[in-house]
Amino acid sequence: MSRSTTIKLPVLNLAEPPKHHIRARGRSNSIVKVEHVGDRVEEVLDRNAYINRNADWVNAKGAWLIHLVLIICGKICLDTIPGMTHNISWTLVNLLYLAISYLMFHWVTGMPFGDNLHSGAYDELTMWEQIDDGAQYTPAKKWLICMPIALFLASTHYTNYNPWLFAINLTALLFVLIPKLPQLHRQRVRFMADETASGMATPTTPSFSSGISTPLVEITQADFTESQLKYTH
Amino acid sequence: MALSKPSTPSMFKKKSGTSLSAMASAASYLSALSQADARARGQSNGSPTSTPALSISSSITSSSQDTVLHEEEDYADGLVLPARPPTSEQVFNTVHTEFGHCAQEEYRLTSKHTPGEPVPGHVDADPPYYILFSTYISYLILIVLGHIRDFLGKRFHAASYHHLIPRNGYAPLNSDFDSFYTRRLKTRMDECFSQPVTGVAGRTIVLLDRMSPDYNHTQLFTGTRTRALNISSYNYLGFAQARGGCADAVEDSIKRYGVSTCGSRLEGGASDLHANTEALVAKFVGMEDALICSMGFATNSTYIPALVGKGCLVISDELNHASIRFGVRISGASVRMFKHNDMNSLESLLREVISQGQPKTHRPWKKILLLVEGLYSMEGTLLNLPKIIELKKKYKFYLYVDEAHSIGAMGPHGRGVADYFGINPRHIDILMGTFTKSFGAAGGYIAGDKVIIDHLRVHGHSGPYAEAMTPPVLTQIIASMASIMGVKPPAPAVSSGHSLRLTSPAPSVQEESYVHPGPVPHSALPTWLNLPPELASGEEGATRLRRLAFNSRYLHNGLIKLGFITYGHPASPIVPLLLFNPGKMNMFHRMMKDRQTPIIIVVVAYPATPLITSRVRFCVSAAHTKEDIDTVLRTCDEVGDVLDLKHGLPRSERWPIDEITSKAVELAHMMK
Repeated sequence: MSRSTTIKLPVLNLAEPPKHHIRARGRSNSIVKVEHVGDRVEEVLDRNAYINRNADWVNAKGAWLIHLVLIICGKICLDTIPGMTHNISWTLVNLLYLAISYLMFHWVTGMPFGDNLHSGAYDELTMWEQIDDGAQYTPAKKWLICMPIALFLASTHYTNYNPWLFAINLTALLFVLIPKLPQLHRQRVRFMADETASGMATPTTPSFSSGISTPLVEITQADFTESQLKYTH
Repeated sequence: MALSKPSTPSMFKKKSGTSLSAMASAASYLSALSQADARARGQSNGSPTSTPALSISSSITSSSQDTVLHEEEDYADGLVLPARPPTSEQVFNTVHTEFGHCAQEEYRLTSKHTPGEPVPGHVDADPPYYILFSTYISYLILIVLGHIRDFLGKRFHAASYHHLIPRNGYAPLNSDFDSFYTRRLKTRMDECFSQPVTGVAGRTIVLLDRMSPDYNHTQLFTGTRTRALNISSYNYLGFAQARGGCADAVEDSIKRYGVSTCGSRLEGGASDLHANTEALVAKFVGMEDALICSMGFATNSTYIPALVGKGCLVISDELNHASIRFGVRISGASVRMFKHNDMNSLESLLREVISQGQPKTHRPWKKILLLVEGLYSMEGTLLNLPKIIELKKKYKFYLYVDEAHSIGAMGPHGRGVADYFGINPRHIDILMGTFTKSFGAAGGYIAGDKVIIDHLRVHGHSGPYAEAMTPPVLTQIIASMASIMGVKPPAPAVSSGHSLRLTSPAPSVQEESYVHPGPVPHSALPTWLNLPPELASGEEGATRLRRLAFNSRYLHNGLIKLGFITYGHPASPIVPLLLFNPGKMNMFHRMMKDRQTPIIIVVVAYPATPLITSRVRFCVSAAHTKEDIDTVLRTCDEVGDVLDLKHGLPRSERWPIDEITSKAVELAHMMK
């Protein structure tokens, strides 16, 4: 006999493919967005527990002068190339120094040794953000800001204030100086970010990427064909 | 006084591999003995009373595979036989390859802090600028080359990068950026690391030689073995012995208790031996009670969460060990770090955290625990315990001292840093230590007030989940601790007097009490334990302590006088020697190993050390003789000249090596 207390469930329609991918947050409409990284509680605790050998060397002896030594060596090496005028050589020294220091301090994130002491607490921080545990206006950061400015001034002087070269050098300098500002500490500028998260409960930063090398595969209804499913009931 | 070698040692002479085969027959043994006699007489120092041939057998106490004379083995490396043949009066009961024979009373020193002498904080040594620049440029070249090779290799030689590239929809197992240092820098030097060894890691150790056909990606055994002087194992008091009183006691205990108690401490694995050992450890360090954990790392990582939790603050030194860091992370307490061994930085940090309180709410902290180590293993610096006790009285925090390296190695009675400075250990709240380094055992202990230890027994993770310490290791701990402390002989049985005197009290049972630091009463040890007399009297233990103190000071001051830069306190048995350049590490290791007396060393590099200060770490032991330290000093002298490592003392103040070896006693008494 049927009981009046049977629960009536709404009809579930599994035939249609889901309209949207699984998403943790709604899609944003802006092309460029700036977001904050590296603030999870566990990461903060892990960072405090041990010293950061990856970023400690900027305060060691000789770490400041090595910039000068490398620039001078680079200038000498560039000058030996036949056909090099002093305009091009100074511009090249400036651009190369800015490119290499940008790559080293502001592009690469994390630590190049995967020891368990830090367990990924620095994986999203660039070396600039790791220096001095993120403190601002420290002597090492001041030196690292002054070096490109001094090199820029020297290069504009020695290229006789040629307007084109000046413009190139200035743009490059600004490009490198902006990430060093304290206001951009731990901010990332994302361009046309994709918002797909891997699962509903994955803790994510606003623009999720589980890892740089995770292949982004979209899973749709077509993946669950009869031939792929073992149990057809 | 140094070993008179038959030929001048060439730096690059490779020691031919010796195979340890058994003796063919008694006749060959006797012929080898007579040959060794003739050789020794030819080299004797001319002392009429020494009879070298007969004394050879006394220096090798028992016949076993690595002590019986071999026909084909040459003794030119000076490792198997003592350099100075013993006289007829001297009797040594250790094997020379495990624990060196040394009867010179002048090569002994008491490890004690002279009051008034300042405890040096960590001093950063300053090499000349060209060394620093070349170090930075080497790392830059290695990193740039590594990145170029990765970049090109992934595109043109993808077969060898399978594990680093996503394929077939699978993410790579290892991140190529995280493993960059291991693949591109460490693999170049990999012959220095993970050296397989065999036999007792005592004064000497037997290496299994290996070679690599493909630039250190795979290592293949060549089949030969090399016996090398072992200045890299943690063996401070030389208890790493396969033969001796402790080893015999351990064999007895296996017959009695078996190899395991088959359970965790709180679930049936406890035994009387555990209680006995814990009581002995508590007496040894001078605290009320102690508990033992079967793993040294786990002692910190499982018991620190039982001490601190959320709302507590842990102040830890910058260079604390990974086990402490692990335990603090699990506990959920907040952490602050102060500069290594810098008391001013500690005081300003204390003022800041006490005044500010908890991070957001600014409420006072539930507990503030200062976690420091007695002796830091990477730097060799000693804790400034007097100043910390002073700060403790002023700011009233709790103190936890991790004496993993300093227990058994420092102090006139071997009781650790508190003994070294002459401070009552009850002023420290919790003393932790390990048995691995000085006692030839394994595991760790925590000692403190009975209330705290009872709480830790129940609330620490090891109690219910980890296995109980195994009986043979417990016996090794008991035997080695009793040897260091000395055993008070049992009081003679008092016969019940047949005359009752009312004026004097009846003779009561002698209460055997323990006074710290002093010998342990006989009743505290298990009754079946039979230590040989020289161990039980504490004489051998005291000799070992004094030999260790002499050896460490001698090596440290000798290296300084040779012109090297070393870190650490001169009394510490860990002596780091700075190399700076990454390329020199490999060369130094190889040059030390390829000598007539091979020496096996430990090199430590970035990221375990700061970027520019890569180092060699010597671990001195009581098992070394003065001649062994001379060998190390001589080798360092030659290798340091070739590799340009002497940036310490200026050339005018350095001493030549012969002067150092002849003035050893004076050098050891020098306060740096």
